[in-house]
Amino acid sequence: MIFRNNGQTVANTEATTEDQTKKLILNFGNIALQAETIGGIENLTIQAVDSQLSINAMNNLYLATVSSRAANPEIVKSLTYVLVPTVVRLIDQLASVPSENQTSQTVQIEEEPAEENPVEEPAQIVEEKPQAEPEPIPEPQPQFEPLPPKTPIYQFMVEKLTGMLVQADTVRIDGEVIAKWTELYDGKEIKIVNIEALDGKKTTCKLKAIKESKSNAKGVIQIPERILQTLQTEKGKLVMVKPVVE
Amino acid sequence: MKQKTTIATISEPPENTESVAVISVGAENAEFANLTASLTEIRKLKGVLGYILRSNNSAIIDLNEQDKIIEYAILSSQIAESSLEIAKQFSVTDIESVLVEGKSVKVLCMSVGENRISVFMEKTATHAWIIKRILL
Repeated sequence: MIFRNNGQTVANTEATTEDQTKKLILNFGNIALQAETIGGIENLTIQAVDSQLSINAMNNLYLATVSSRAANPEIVKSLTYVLVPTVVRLIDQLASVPSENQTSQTVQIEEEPAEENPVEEPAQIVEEKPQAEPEPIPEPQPQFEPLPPKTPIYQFMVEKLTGMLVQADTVRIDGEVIAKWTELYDGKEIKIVNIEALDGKKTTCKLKAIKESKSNAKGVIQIPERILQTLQTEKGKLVMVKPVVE
Repeated sequence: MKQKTTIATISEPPENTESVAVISVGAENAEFANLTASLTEIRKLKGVLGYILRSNNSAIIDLNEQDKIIEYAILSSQIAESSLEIAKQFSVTDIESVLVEGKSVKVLCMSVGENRISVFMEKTATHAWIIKRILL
């Protein structure tokens, strides 16, 4: 299983259930919070008599693997420290390529009308260039509209938002995350988010950036009392947050 | 300053040596005493920064950095609790050890009977030998 440091799952095996995923991320997150004192977690290994579970950091991602202790440790090491991180890095690099391909595909489609003339007068072309093979008639290709960006879902740790001037219908998260969302949706301002607690309770509310320093805001969502009650969650719990594009 | 603080049944006077904090609380049992002896030996190893030994009614904290005692104690407790939950989810039973590696320090957590051990060490230190020594 691969997940981001904000708790978002990137990939997992078919056998892994959603509940397992959530609990793994939640408990790992709890350790990671306290592990700041040792400079964050680079590797966590739970070694049992017959099996072992490892979670390895790969930049902003974590790879969780469960293996038998009978397995060749060198192979397991190669997989977790070399092969999978390399594949993930490659996929990350390839992720930026499709947008370039899409652009060139659009250009090809636009050029097609210019090639229609030879098709209309094939006899003339054969006379002038007897050796040249007749060009195939271009099949009409459907115009694909680029897919809208996949809605990112972030996981945040809950902090209670209190104070005299707190708006009861507004949550606050890291301004950098809001900026990323705005960038993702072509500059559309994100003012509303869907929040889902781990037990499935959902609500929609307004959004603002956290006023505090950046380091304190990372991975945290500040929620006022009323929304906490709606979600039936509390300080320290994790929630999933999805931007709503109007 | 080496500070040996004793509460409850164990009583030793404070010693003035190097900057090490040792806090002992509660009454010991035989297993606890054996582990204390092993950990005292482990503590002398190069790269070992200290340890926390805890049972239901006793605890010893021996760490180089006094200002991190609370943070390290919370971390070791969180590792013990959360790693059990993670292991349970993936049917990893009979846990021998949990190793958490940070940027500069790594923590080895183990449970022996009712006793919980956390050994803090530099990343270059060999933890495999420590596991063997404790499981002896």
